[in-house]
Amino acid sequence: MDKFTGIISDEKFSKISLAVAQYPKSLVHWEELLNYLISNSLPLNRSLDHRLYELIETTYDSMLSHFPYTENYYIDHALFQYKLGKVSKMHAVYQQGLKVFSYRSLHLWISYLKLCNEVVTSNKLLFQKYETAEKYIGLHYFSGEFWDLYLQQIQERCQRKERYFIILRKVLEIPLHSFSRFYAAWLRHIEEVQDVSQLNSFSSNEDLMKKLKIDVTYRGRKGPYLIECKKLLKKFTKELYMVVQYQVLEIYSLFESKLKTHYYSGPATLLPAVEVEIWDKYLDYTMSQRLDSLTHLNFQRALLPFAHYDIFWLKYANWLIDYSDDIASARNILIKGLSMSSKKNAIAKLLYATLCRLNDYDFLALIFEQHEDAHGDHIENVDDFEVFWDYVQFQTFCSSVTKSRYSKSELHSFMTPNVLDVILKRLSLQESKIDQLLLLSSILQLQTKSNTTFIEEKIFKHIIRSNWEFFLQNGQFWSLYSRLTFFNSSLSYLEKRRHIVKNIWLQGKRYNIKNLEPLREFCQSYLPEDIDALEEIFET
Amino acid sequence: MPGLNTNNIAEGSDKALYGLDPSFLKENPQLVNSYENIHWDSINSLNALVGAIEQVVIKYKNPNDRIKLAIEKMYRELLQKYPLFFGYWKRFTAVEYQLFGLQKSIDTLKKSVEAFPSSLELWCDYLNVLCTNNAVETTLIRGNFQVAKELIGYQFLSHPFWDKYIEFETKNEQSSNLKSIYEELVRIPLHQYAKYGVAYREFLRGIASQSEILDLDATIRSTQKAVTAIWPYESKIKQNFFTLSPVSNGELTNWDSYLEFIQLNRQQYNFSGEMIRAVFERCLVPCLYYEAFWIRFVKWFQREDSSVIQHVIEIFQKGISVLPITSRTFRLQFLQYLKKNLRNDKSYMFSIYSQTIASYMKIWPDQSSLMAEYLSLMKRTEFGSTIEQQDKEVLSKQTAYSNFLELAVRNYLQRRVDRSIPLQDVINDSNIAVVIVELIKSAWLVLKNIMQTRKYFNFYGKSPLLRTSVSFWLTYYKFEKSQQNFTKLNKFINDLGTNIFLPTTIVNDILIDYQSFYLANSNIADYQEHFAIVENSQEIQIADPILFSQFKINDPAWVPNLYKNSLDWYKSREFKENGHPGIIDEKPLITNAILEESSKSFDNVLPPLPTFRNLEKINQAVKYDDKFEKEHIGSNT
Repeated sequence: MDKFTGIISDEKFSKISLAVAQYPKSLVHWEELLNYLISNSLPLNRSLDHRLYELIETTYDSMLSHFPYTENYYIDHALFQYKLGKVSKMHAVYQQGLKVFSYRSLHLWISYLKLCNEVVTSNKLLFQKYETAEKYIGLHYFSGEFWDLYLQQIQERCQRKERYFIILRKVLEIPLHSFSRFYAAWLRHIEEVQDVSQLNSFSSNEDLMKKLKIDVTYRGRKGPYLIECKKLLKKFTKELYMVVQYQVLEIYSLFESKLKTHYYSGPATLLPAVEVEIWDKYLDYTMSQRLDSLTHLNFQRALLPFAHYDIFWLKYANWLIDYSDDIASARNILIKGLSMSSKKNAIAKLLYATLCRLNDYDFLALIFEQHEDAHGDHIENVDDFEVFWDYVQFQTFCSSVTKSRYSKSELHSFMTPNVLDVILKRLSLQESKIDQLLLLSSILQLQTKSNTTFIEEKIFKHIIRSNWEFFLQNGQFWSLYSRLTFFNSSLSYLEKRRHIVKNIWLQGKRYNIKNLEPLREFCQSYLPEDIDALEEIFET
Repeated sequence: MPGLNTNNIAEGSDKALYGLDPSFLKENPQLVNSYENIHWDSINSLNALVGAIEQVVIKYKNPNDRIKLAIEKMYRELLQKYPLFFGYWKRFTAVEYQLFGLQKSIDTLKKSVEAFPSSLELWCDYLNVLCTNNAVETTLIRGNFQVAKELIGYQFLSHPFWDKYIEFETKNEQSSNLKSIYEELVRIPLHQYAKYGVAYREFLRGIASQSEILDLDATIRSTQKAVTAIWPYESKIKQNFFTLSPVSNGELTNWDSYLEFIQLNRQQYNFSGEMIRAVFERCLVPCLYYEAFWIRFVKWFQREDSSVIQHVIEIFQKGISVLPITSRTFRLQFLQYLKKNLRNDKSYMFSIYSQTIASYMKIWPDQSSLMAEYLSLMKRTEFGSTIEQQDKEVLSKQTAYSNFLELAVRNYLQRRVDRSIPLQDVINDSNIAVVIVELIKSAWLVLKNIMQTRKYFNFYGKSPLLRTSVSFWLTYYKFEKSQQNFTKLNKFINDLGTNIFLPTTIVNDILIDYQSFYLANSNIADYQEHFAIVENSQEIQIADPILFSQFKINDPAWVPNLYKNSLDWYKSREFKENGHPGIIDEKPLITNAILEESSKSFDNVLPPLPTFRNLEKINQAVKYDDKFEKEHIGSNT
């Protein structure tokens, strides 16, 4: 029996793989499976059985598609490919991972670049990667290590000094945890200068002249002049240091020192609430700094541990909409959030609104279709009232393409038949759904002069005709019905009163109404003169 | 006790010391001082006054009328405020005796039992004095004994009274009266029940049959059972008198469980209504200022004797007159009670109701819900109509109501309030909105005058009094919703938080509701049109009813894209306080920062030297922005 067959016919394998198949959303089982496969495939080298290689590769892929935020498994996978000599696969895995994080994963970049340093021979290609990384994670509070790598490669691979000094000069301005290291290097370089002409490594000739009165072409006695110039350069370095140190201390003491979880830990782990709070404040702080690339980056950082919380997805989308006026990006973030967050209501609602704003009703319809599918075409069964209600509202709006408020047939202009159908189906579930009366009063909130008859005929009378006792025995129902009538602008005051007292209340009397209080409250607010009539009707 | 009738010592000619001989005042500085600087909530201060008065009475054997009058006035003031201090009544009686003689002191005792009818001591004193000095007036005395029996005869320690009563009837040789006294007495759970059992047996000997005696024994056993049952509570009562200091928790708990016990076990021990009532009344002497006992009392009483509405009302009024103004529950229960019984006697109930609610509006001027209650009940009683009436009659009532409200509002706004009209008398800045809303509701929903309704909204909406009125703006919102006027609705949503200031939770509800309403009642075409209008207008961007209006949730002052429009953002308070609200910090900044630029973009030319802002302030002490100090304390200085 070969190795592959041995592994897959082992009882342990079938047990673990069964667990994975049964609970694909449980990270532990995946980890077990991978550990089992890898530990039985050692040593990892080019001679690995092709079938085993494919099994491990697809396992990584499936696992990462279930858990796209497990940074370390991209690295694992890439190293696995690398060890087997599959360098282009290695690149692909890193690219795949980086894409998931919108290229804003410091961890992946550092690990990737370290490997690239080894395998990429073309300077141009290598530095392209560094430049991309610089763009996305260069302002990361912990990006000191990245900058070290970058500077080191520049020094090793570039003939000219300018690039090195430009990068180092830029790094000086970034509030980094390890900022002082770069100042030390900078000061050392100043110290190392032998000649006035070399001073243009620290700034442009014109600027040196203009701001520090340093003449790099100075022809006089150079020794004392150089000492003087170095002092001036150190002075500006010190000032810059003070500013950056101030920023670093602020960031560190207020936020970074209090954040402990910098990794993804799955949907089942509850993280300390204090970290949510700190991230929330940190993000507010970052937004006010007005460094958009840093804001993006910090949102992505917060999302790594808190991917299953809706708060940061919403905050990110809100920032994109309000601060950046970038509704399309917000939509993309919300779509990601919808798939990752455990709480989906608020994200979904904001997404719907965003899609309306973007005029993308086709996509909205698609989401609704998926939503309906997910409930086996019984959207009315959804437990959460808010989810149901958001669906109803946006569905009504979406189907308004054909409706107009100037339409003649009022009865059909308010709600499309299928929306009405869903509402009635939900109402028919009566006490098996909570918030049924909330649904009814929410519908009442939509009342206008033109849809009153629709609501009365299609909903309230329907409930009475269907004899749904859950409603008919509840004073709240009759109170809402009275209210609907009282706000019916097509009836005169006396018609309303008579309709309420003689039709609605007398009809209500036939049922064993459990709580009259809502009706009393209605009277108190709108018909105090009929309180006596109310009491008389329901007295017996 | 604080918060009670704060009828301060009257000024001017009403003042007790007014018109007294200056030399007298000079000779009695203690009296003057203790009276003029009296602290109503300090028992020491009250004692000092009473002591000073007594000194004067001792000092002057025969004071003149003015002094006598002054002394009486001071006592009356004191006892009007605190009628439950029986000790002061006794001392007052002694002083009256000294100054005016016997009859005046008897009259004072009579007044004392009227002011404090559940006082055993005062009744005993009064009856004692009557028996001793007016022994011949048996009818009068007997009448008083009977009144006293109703009021204090069921108190656990009322044996001195009963002794006196038996002695009185024995002396007058009224054996039939005695028999009925005993008959009642042996059923009352008294501390000395056994003594009366024996006495009654003795009394019956020879005149009653054997079976009567056996019945008596059974009655006594049952009374004994009752006494044993309540003894655990009675024995724990340490303070059965009124004081100005708070009652201890132990006492309060004991009263509470005592009352609970006798109510729950009434059947088992044959507790009579009189007995339970007596416990309540005794409890309400030390616990006069404790709302919970009043609530319990009135609740019990309603069940006990619901037929006599007048008595219930009296208990409510009594409680309200003594309870501190923070006792809301009891006071509001009274309103509920009156409302519930309105049908029984509309005009009487409504007159009590309106007096009561008017007094509440004076003590709680910010409670605008009282006004809503009041208007509702007023409409029901004074402008009522039934659906059986002719259309014309009903509408004339409604129009009259509307005119009545409009007049009240107009007079208030023009400062021409007619105090003789109860409604106008109670309108204030907090509840005027309720009246206006009622007026508008009447125009919109009853008289169906849309033009007039709009006029009202436009007119009153400008008044600063309504800028923060929740009910006014919610009515407006509802109105425009019903009219489907999206232009007005959008403007309203936009004004929230910038021109109209409502509590954030209300604003949130409106925003959420409006999104629903808009989605259900508008359509895609109109939504598109909305943006076309917004983009062409030069005005501030009107918030998008579907997407942007949601940004106002929890942040009513939000304005779209404020971020983009500000150039001096680093001067903003948000930036200076960034990360540490309340601490203003001039943060150092690099003004020509390059950190956001790609290093490649420099094209091998080194960037310019950095320039700074606020670098010199880096070591400055931070400033604390104490909003509380500034906005609440600072504004008064």
